Amino acid sequence: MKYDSIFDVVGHIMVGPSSSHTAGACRIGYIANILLGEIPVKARISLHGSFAETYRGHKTDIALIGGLLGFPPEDERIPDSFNIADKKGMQYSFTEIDLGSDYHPNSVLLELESKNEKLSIIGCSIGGGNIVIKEINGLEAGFDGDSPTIIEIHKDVRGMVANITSAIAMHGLQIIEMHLSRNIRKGIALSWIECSAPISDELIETIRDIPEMINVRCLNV
Amino acid sequence: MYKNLKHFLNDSKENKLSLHEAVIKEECLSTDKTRDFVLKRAKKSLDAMLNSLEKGNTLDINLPIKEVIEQSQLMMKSPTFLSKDLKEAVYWAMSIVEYSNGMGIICAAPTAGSSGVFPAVLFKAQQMLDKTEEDVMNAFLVGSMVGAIIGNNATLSGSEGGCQAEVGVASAMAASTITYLAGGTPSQVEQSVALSLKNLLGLICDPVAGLVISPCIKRNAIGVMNAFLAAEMALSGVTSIIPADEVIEAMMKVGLALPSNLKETGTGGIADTPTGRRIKKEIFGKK
Ligand code: SF4
Repeated sequence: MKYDSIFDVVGHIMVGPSSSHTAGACRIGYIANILLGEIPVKARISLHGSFAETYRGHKTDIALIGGLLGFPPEDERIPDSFNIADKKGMQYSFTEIDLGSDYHPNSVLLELESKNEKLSIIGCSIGGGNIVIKEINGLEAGFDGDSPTIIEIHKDVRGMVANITSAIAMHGLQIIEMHLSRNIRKGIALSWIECSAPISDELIETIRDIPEMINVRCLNV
Repeated sequence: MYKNLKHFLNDSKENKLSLHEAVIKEECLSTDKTRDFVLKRAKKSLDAMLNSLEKGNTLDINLPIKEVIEQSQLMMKSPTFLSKDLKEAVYWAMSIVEYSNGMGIICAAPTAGSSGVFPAVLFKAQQMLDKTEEDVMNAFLVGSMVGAIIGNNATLSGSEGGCQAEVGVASAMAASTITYLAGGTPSQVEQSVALSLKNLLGLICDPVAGLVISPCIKRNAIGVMNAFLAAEMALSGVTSIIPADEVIEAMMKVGLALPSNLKETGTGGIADTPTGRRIKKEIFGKK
């Protein structure tokens, strides 16, 4: 069964005109905003495939900026995103890019800077407003942002996953899905962990304190 | 979640529940939510639909295809053939999709491109029959379940099944909703699904320049008229020889058989006409 709720059919409240090219794009930006923790000071946005070809007609660009400003796809302020970004002092630029055939035709590379941090994300809009965050800082990801998710990057040493999962268990959460990808050359690894309930600040702190941890981010949806 | 319409109707009969009560029960069971949650969530969607209908009437929208600007407005003129109500329902549906194109917030039903049909038909029928908000909520639940059942047995995406899966399904959802709103029996509700879906079977998805504008906006108009027609027929006792569940299966097969240039790629049908190609070139230039 594809749909186990009537609200899969009549529950998607979102900005038009296209669920994949507008609402999905907004959602990628929105999740990037949450992962960065703030509105980026600078955003370099590279559009791939069908996003590159049709973004003007579908207003993909406005939707992405709206998302980066922290607007979810049902936010009425989205059409005014360019003006709001200017007022908030966010600099942005759009270019086209060919990421190659491994990437969904509706993909975008976001290179973001806040005052202290840099973050690069590749997101794909896979239809019906659903998305996948495919890469973070060049490491493979693959979560959809529909459940509370912990995303962390650590040094690729023994025992890290055990430490992380036991921290999660200690905080009374259940893991729904988990994924680990390693970059052996750089000696780092990224994992994302979908949890059964919202993730507390304390849990994030506990994970951050694990030795050899590089970066922890959290998506509470 | 109900396997098909038969299952839905039988379950309501066996448990002596009205159709909308059966929907609430089933939704709670399959999503592990409370009745209160389901009703609140439904209200949220209904509110978003109503909001898009009200705003769609007022907003100044600048569409990338200049040929379609203010087409919905023309439907406000006094009617020649249709009743004033039906003409206004068509106007509502078109203006919701125009609003969506102006980056308005809409509730997909089942998709953004077909989002005008269901709210326009439901709220117009409420007005015509002088029904309460509670009646509208109940009817909404029944139509939504019809949409989910069609989605599970066929598809709700133009890229998989053509426009029969979008405007076609929206029209079937709308038909069943107002058949129920008007006090139709469960069997009449089922007939309205079969009758409406059959009329739009084989409808292709051929958006000019790949944008959800043409034919989409005006295609919502046939979705509306077809819904009123099928509901009227079902309420009069007209029946479909082919049961609704079989029509739904047929729709999936037709969808699979459609070549990909007629499924949302914007490369067939009216998209692939001299004018369609010219518009695409004007919008996307070099490409
Ligand atoms: S023509 Fe295609 S894009 Fe337009 S409403 Fe129909 S299915 Fe959707």
